[in-house]
Amino acid sequence: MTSRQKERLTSFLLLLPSIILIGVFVYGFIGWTVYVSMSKWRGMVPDYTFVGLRNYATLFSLHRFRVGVKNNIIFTALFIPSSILLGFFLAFLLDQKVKFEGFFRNVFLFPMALSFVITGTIWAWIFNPQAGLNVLLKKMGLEFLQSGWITDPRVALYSVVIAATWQMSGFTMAMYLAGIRGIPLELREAARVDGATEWQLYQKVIIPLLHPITVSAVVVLGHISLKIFDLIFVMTGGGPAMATDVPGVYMFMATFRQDLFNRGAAIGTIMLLMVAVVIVPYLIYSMRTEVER
Amino acid sequence: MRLFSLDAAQRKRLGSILNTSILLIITILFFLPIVWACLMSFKTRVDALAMPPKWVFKPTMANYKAVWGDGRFLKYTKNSLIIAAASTGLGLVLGVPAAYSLARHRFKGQRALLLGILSTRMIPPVAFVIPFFIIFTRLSLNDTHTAVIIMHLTIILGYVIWMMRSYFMDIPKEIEEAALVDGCSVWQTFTRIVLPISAPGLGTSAIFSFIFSWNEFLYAMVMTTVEAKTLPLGVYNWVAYEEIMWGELTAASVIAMIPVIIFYGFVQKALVRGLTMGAVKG
Repeated sequence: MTSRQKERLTSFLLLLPSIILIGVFVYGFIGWTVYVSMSKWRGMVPDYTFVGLRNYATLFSLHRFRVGVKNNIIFTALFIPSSILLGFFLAFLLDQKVKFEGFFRNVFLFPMALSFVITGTIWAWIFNPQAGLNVLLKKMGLEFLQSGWITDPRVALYSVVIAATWQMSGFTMAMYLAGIRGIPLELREAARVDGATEWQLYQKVIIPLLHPITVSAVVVLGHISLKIFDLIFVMTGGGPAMATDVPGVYMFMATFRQDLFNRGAAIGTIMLLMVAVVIVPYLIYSMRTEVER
Repeated sequence: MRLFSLDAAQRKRLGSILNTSILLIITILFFLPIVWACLMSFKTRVDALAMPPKWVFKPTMANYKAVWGDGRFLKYTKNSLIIAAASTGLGLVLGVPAAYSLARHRFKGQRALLLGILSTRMIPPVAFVIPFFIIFTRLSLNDTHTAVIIMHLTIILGYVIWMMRSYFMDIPKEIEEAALVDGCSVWQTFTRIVLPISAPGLGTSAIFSFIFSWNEFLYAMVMTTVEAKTLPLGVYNWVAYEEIMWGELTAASVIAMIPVIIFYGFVQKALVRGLTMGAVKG
């Protein structure tokens, strides 16, 4: 064996354990899940009798699942723009040569490091009608703003969106700030020399240049939002009256509380497809640029 | 009239004052939930329910004593430490060599392989959690550290490989070639030259992996019932009680936040990079 062949072999052996682990535990298991989703398996005893797509058909006729999908879409449609707008606004403010920029940046990013369980717990308390926010509003004489928050079916979903935005807008801020800083100073100077105001500078020069970042942010936030589970499970458990129920929560309940393995597997597969629609085109695109680097 | 006839310098100063004020207000709003929860954890039951709420009060350690006094919580903390440390350690041992190999060699299908590794962090966990449950139940590994460690390892691996590969690719090839010419073997070059240079990347990957495992909820909830329960589940238990004990609950949350606070300074950049996978160099 030549030393080159030897090196290739070593390199392959170094890679092998990881490939096997990921190949079996992620991709193999996804295949297994799809298989379960087409079976008759309910209860603790495995039953792999093949029933085709029947479980999927059942699922789409179920009220709870349809409400869950609708909630998840509404959640996504609110959570993405709010995180993007707040994050961009923060990046804009931080770009204006602020003192203690590092401090502010750290504050806004901090919630992102927390577990969704902690976020959910803290916000469940803030949005508890007997505690948290309502008490504060009362003290400030703003009783008319009081609400049942996570106990009111009309408001609960929005309360969850607020908590999620709190956690993730630091992420969009960091992305936008990096993007703004990446724009050559000469370009900004040139615009200023031409008499552009700060607002025009943003509108005509900076925002168009930030489009790729917005695309990345939408994809990242979108896939987080489409697979959301922990935050909602902890904050509301999907209630009240299914007002915050999402497929993620239903999947857990169906599989691990009601032992409907085939149904849970079908929900998991559908969620995978929803996330794939968002993430696959983006991955292929960024992979192309990454490898060519 | 003077107000409207500001010169450019004055307008600029006014603008920057306004800017900073808005930032300060948002900062307070951002931190309020956390600070409030911290204050709550030091309040007695009476103070906690006081109307109007007390901002000034005599701090008590009673909630923390109650949380720690409950043997289960201590156990959950220990479980979380064991699981996070083991899955991080294994993730590095397996992932770092793999990343090196991917950074130094090109082969057919590498792009597809990288894509497959990268995707593991984005795939919804519910899409592959059921077979884990089936297998671990069959092997009687339910409610053991091993089960949760393997599940966390699967996710951590993708992150470590991706992160370390980009670190290794930034190391100039000449350094390694020089070492090889000097008579080092490939393995010596890797351990004596490449790894020390990549120490910051190793540290970030380790901390990021640790925090991921420390924070993880779904797998731990599916796989554990009593013995191997982790801290997030312990916190969640307090939420799920009939009558919520806010003092104890917030104390438990604060304890669960401690490692995140300690390591936060080291990982804040990695947090963003970890999600975009290098698409944006923050």
